[in-house]
Parts: sequence; C-alpha cells; structure tokens
Amino acid sequence: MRGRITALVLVAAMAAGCGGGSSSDGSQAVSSGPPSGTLRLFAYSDGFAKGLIKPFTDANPQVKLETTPFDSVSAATAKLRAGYDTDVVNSCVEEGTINQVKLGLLQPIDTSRIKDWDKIYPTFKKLPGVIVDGKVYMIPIDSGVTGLMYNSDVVTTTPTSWADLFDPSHKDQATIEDNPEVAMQVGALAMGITDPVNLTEDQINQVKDYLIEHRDNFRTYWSSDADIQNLMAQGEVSIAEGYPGNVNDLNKDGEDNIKFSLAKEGQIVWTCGYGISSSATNIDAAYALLNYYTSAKAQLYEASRWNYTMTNEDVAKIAPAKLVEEARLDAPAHFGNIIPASPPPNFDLWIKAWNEVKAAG
Amino acid sequence: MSVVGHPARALPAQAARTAPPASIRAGRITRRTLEIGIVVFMLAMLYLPLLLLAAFSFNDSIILSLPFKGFTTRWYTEAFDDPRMRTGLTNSIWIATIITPICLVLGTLTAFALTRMRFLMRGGVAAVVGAALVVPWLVIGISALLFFNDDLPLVGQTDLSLWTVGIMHVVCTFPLVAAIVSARLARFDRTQEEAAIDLGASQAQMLRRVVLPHLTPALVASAIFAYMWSFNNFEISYFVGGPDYTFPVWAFSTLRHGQNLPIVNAISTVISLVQVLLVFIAWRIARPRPDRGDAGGFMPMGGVG
Repeated sequence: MRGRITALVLVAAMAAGCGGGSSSDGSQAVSSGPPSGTLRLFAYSDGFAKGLIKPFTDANPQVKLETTPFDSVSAATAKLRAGYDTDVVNSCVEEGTINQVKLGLLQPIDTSRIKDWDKIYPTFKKLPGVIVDGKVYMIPIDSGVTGLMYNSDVVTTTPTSWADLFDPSHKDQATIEDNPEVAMQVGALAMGITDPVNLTEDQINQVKDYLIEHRDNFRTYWSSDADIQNLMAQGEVSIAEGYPGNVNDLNKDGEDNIKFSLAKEGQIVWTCGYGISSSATNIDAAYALLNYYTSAKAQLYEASRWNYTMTNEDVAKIAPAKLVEEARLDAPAHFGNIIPASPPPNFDLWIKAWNEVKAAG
Repeated sequence: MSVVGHPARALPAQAARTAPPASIRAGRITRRTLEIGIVVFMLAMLYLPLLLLAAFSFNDSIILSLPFKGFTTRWYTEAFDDPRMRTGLTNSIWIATIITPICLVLGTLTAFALTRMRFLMRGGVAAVVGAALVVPWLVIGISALLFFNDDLPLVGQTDLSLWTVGIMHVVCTFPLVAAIVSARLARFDRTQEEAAIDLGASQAQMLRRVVLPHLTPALVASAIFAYMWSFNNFEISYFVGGPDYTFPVWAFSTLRHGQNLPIVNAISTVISLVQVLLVFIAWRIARPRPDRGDAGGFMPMGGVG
C-alpha cells in the first residue's frame, strides 16, 4: 500500500513538473505548436460574451477555456490575493491595476509576443498599471472618456468646461459620479489645477472645500449607468459628468436631446485590458488570448457592442463611419490632455475628502 | 311596547343593552382602520418593488422610468438566449436543490443534539454553530477560499468548483435550519413523547407519529429558507466558485453595463415569481389543520408558530 502511495506521489510530482509554460527562473518558454490545454480567464462577464469569445474558441479548438466572472476589479483583487489561481486576468487602470502589480498578482508581459502591440495607440501604453517600472503588465484593450452630458433643451449653449457643472445657473440641476477619484479630479480641473492626478494634501482640502461650496448645484451623486440615464431621461438633472456610452444608450432609446461634449481642461480616461496572472500555468494559451483581444477583429466587436473606444488604431480604419463617431474610435489619435483615471498614491485622503463632501450635503 | 318575555324580540334588546358606547365603537373602528393601514403599508413595502420590477421587465426601454415606451418581451428572450445566464441559473438550482435536504438533516440532528442532549461544551458547540449566522458571508467566503487553497491533510489543495460552493453553502445554511428547528423543539411539550411511549409506541413510532408532525412547519420553513439562502448567495459563491459560477455571480458581473439591467430585471422577475410560488405551496402544505388537531402553523418570517 505504501508503495502505491509513493508511486502516486511520484507521478503527481512529475505531472506538476511537466505542467505550465513557465520555467523556474520566471522566463517564459515559447512552445512551437498551437496552444492547448485548459486556459483560465478571470474577467468581467463581457470579456467572455458569446459574440466576443467564440472566434477565439473556434480558432483554438485544443484550448479548453474556463471563465470565471467578477463584478469589480477590487473584488477580483481580493479573490486573487486570497490565492485564487488563474491564467488571464481582466483589469482596469482606474480600478487599480497598479495595485495588482504591486501585490505581485500579475506577471510582466513579453510584448514581442503580442502581434499588434505596435498598433496600440502610444497614449495607452504609458498608463500607470499598463507599465510599471519599465515593464508591461497589462495589454490595454478598451477605454472610454469622461465628459459632459447635457440636456440640449435646457442647456442651450454647449458646455465645454468642467466649471460649467459648478455654474450657479445649473443650481440643483447637475450631477457627478459618486466616485472619489473622478469627482475630485473634476473638482480640481474646474478650479484650474492642472495636475489633478497628483494632488497634495492642501490641494485635496481646497478641492473638498470647493465641492462643498457648490453643493447646492448637485441634485444627487450618481452611482450606476442606470442612475445617470434615469436622471437625464426624467429631466431630474440637465448637466452631468458622464460617458459617451450613457449618451448613446439614451439616444438609442429616443432621448435625442441628450448630448455629450468634452471638457477643455482635460479628458479623464478609463482603460481596461488583460494581464497574465502570477499563478498562470498555460502561458502559451494566455498569449494567444491576449493576441486575440488585441486584434482589430475582436476590438471591432467590442466597439460595436458596447461603444467602447478601442486601443488598436486599425479598428478606426475598418469600422463604419457611424460607429467611429459613436464610439469615438479615432479619439485616441487626437487625445490632447489625457488624464488617466488611476488610484493616486494618497487615495485614502481622496476618499476621506469625498466622504466629507457627501456628508456636508 | 314591551318585548320582555318574547324570545325573538329579546335578543335585539339585549344587544342594545350590551352594545358598547359610541366612543368605544369609534375607538375600535379607528384601531381596525389603523391595523388594516399598517398591513397594506407593509405589503406595499414588501411587494411594490417586485411589482415594479415585473412591470418594467416588459417596458421597451433600457431606462427604468416612466412613461412606458411600449410592451416587449425581448428582455426575456435575451435573458434566456444567454448561455452564461442559463449556466449560472442551472448551477444555482442544482446546488440549492442538493444542499437543502442535506441542511435539513444536519440542522435537525444538530437541533436535537442541542435541545435534547446534555454534553460537555454544549454551549460552546451552540455558539460555533450559531456563529455562521452572524459572521458576514464576505468573511466566510474569503476564509473558505484561504482554506481550500491551503494544503489540506489527505486532500491537498482543492480546486474551486461547484463542490466547494455547495460545501460552503451547507456550512452557512444548516445552522439556520438548526435555529428554526431548535425553536420549535424548545416549545414542544415532551409529555406527549412520554405519553406515546407509555401507550406502547416504539422510539421510531413516537418520532414519526408525534415529533415529526409537530416539526413539519419548522422543517418546511427551514427548507424554504435554506433553498433561498443558497440560491441567492453571492459573496460565498463568488469567492469559493471556480469556472462554474452561480446565478447571482453572473447577475452582479453582468450589471456592469446599464443596457444589461432590463435583462437582469426580466430574469429576476421570473425567479421572484417562482420563489413566491414555492413559498405559497409550502404554506399550503404546512398550514395548520384544525381537523387534525394542529395548533401551530407555518409563518414565513417567524419560522414557526
């Protein structure tokens, strides 16, 4: 009996030694054949929507794709920290990719293995979290820009500045996202602070006081797509900080009077993408999936399905003109003053200040 | 005109004599109105959101607000066309269906042990069992994930799957059954058991014919709660679930996009209706039957009555 157990242990140890594509020194071995085996994907559920993922699974029949959804990057981080093993991880810069890197949850990506890496707009390659200490940890795939949503029946002059949200003429008619990062950045830009990402403690207090001072302008703080869309559609608010996707959804629903415009002080941009988990074992299949997500074909699907602004410059070339306009597919080429939404180092002070603003209300 | 001595006419006269004064009658009417008002208010608070949910699931718009843009069933079609939703729903139904009887058995045995037996550290065991009811599911979920990722004796590291989800659902649900059944057992007059034994019943007969009928309302209530707890659980299912996810995990992850809200709304309406139907069926099964001498009955929130 003891002999059998010893044999089983030896077989298991040999199998463990054979598994995976990572060598013990951390370098990534490249296999010559097509990817195979089980590939574990940990992502928002749209990352493996049937229409998006089917071409990948069809093209890689030897890969068994196992998908696990999460509802926020912070929840995903908690699960990964607790020891959840996976191969490919969906992450978002504004939700804390950089934290995942610092916690050792992602491993560096060899961009020479990403076929379309050179086609990704340079703007996205520099984002905090995408690159950390000179190494790439996340392949940026989709993004969106925060701007001004407004009801053109009420706000007859197109707003072009974040300061318009704080204009006394919009008293009790404005709203802003209940998100310390976005709200504080918008307040800072409206005040004229040129670097809203790296606020000092003094600046944080100034922004807090500014937001409290203008509290009467804000009817409420919105917390979900459904929230902001309902508020605009119902006429509860006439100007808001929001996203093009919200406006597109409302327009498709017949609310043609809801428009979107960019603020001249800067465009706060969210960006999501995919990285390789530190616990990944099927490295070749992971790169195959990253290559698929980076391809113009996959990104075109995302743009048409969710109106995201995509990172591969070829998407704008092959997409219909209407989609280019709706999803702002050519926007990254013209990004002037991009402000990456990413948790700042002193984020706890931001959260405290934002909570005080809400409590003052 | 005297009516005294005439039985038929004496009744109204007696009623007139015993009728309460107008002020008392007015007080009763006020109290009754207030009671009805409170009941209507409570029912509205409980069910109006559900009714609105159902109404908006047929609204031809992604925006949950009035006015209605038209009638549609496309949200239902889209919901059931989504293989991820079907997978999550099927998984949730399977897990809840399997763990419910397991929890009933474990919980009932625990309840018997805690209420009928005297043993060392009984209070400690009760506290450990009850702890699962007060510790947040988020904490239980993360702890369980750490546990399954650890190298366990004999088992080693456990791959996350529906099995791990099911095991943790049992862990957090059977204490609820134990609590409900214990409450019922504590109110049971044990002289009935003694009488049954005195009259010649065996232990098994006494259990089957005396104790179990008394426990039926509690068991039905426990079964419903166990099923719902398991089916609706998000935190534990999220942390200890692998690639085979449950319905709540799918629902939360899909709500990232506002345009998915009506789809979740539609499927939630179906699930809510089924759950209400299940509770109704359980109530019909477990309702008190005076013709059988039942005294107690099934009360969903109180567990047993």
